Amino acid sequence: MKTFLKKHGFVLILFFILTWAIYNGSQIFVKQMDRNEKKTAQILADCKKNMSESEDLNYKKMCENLINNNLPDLDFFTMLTNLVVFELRYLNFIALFIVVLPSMKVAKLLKSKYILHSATRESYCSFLITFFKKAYQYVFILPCVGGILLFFCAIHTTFDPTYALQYQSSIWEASRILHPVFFILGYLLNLFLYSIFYLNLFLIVLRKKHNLIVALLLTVLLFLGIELFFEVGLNTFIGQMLFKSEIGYLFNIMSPFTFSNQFHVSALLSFSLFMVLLSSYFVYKMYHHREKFIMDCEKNN
Amino acid sequence: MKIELKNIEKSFKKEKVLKEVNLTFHSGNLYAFIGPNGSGKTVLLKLICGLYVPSKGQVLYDDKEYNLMTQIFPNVRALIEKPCFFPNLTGFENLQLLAKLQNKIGSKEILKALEIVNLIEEKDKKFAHYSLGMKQKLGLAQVFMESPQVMVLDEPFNGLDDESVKKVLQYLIEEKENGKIILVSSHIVNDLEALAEKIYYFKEGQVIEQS
Repeated sequence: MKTFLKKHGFVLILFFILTWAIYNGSQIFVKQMDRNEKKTAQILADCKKNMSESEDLNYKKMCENLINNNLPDLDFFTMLTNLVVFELRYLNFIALFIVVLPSMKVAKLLKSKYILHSATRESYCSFLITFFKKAYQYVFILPCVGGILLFFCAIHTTFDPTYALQYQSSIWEASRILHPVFFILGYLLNLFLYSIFYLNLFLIVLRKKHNLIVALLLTVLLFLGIELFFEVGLNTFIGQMLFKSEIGYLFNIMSPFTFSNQFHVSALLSFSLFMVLLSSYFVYKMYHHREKFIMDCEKNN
Repeated sequence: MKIELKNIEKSFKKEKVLKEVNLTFHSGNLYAFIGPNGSGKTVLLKLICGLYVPSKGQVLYDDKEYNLMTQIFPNVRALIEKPCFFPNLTGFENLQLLAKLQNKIGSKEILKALEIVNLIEEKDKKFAHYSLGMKQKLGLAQVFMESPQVMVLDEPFNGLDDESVKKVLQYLIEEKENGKIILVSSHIVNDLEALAEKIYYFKEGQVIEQS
């Protein structure tokens, strides 16, 4: 137990903090909705009492609407929209760190120049297996965080989308919210793919810079650079100007929790998969040359 | 055991640091490599222990060539340049971690190696708190602990106190008599003259003399 906590303590703490933050965010939203519901109930009670005496036509019309139309139950997608767009919008900004921080152990492995001693004891392939196992061991943390988010939404709401459709309160269109199972699977798979992509970015940078802080900063810069390339280069100049298309919504590398609405789920997942494959190719190119890797370990301080 | 270097050349970008090196090493001998800084001896040692691969030529262990992506040279341990370990682990824990890779030895052998290099009392100190000499001793201990058939030591006496140098030299003589191949480089001739069966003098990437 002690060894387990020593090994995974940081990740467990991170996970608990995020779970608490999501719980807290969902509670704020639920309380807000309760207040709204109570207000509506109060207005309804006032309507029943005052409607016959009131001479205001608009008031009468509103009261009739309220009495005749039962308020639908709060739905899953409305709550999820509110959480990812308002209460928990910071999750999108910290997603990169949620994935990368638990993997700092691999930075220590490189910084200690462990390879120089292990190279005579194990083959390079077996070193790489150990290295990548350590690097990707927490790749499920982002989908788990997503899972907790969906869980808290699910326990407070219904999957009946009437509310979302009636009040247009979801950022996702009807075709998506009518199939919640596919939505949830796609949402979690998308988070999983982005986790791999973020880790790959970190590993690409780490190959050249073994200092954790420097590697983290450069990963963020690389990440912003890629976002800028997609948003400004591809979306503004090519997508909007040449093809008059909002292709930029497809490149949601900075908002994995929002799961863009503009394109079909398969298009979004294809883009994530493409980013994973492309970044994995670069990781392969960076790490496959044994001697260059050893030389960089020797030089790096 | 026999190690053979056949027409070895090593270049970095366009600079040739080793030129046509042909050497053979046999069991039960200590070989010394002497030469000024930048003469190519460290690169040669890195080729022998498999850290680097030659640009041209072959490194053969018992006439066999190895693919270092999936294989390692048999029973070689090396201390090359500045020893590096995990700073947050103790000296003993660092050696344990390396010993686990092949699972050939236990704590007993690790402690014996620490004894040889005079580091037994500091074994539970964190590596980050080690002095330069202690770091060097730990580097030597990781070579000695598994009693390898081939020991590659680059400037092994750097930062060592006289008593430790004597102990290490005594250990090397014993191991040589036990049939091991020991390859040692130094830029100081006196260190090795009395010990070595053969001394190779290096200059500009070539063996210019042997005695």
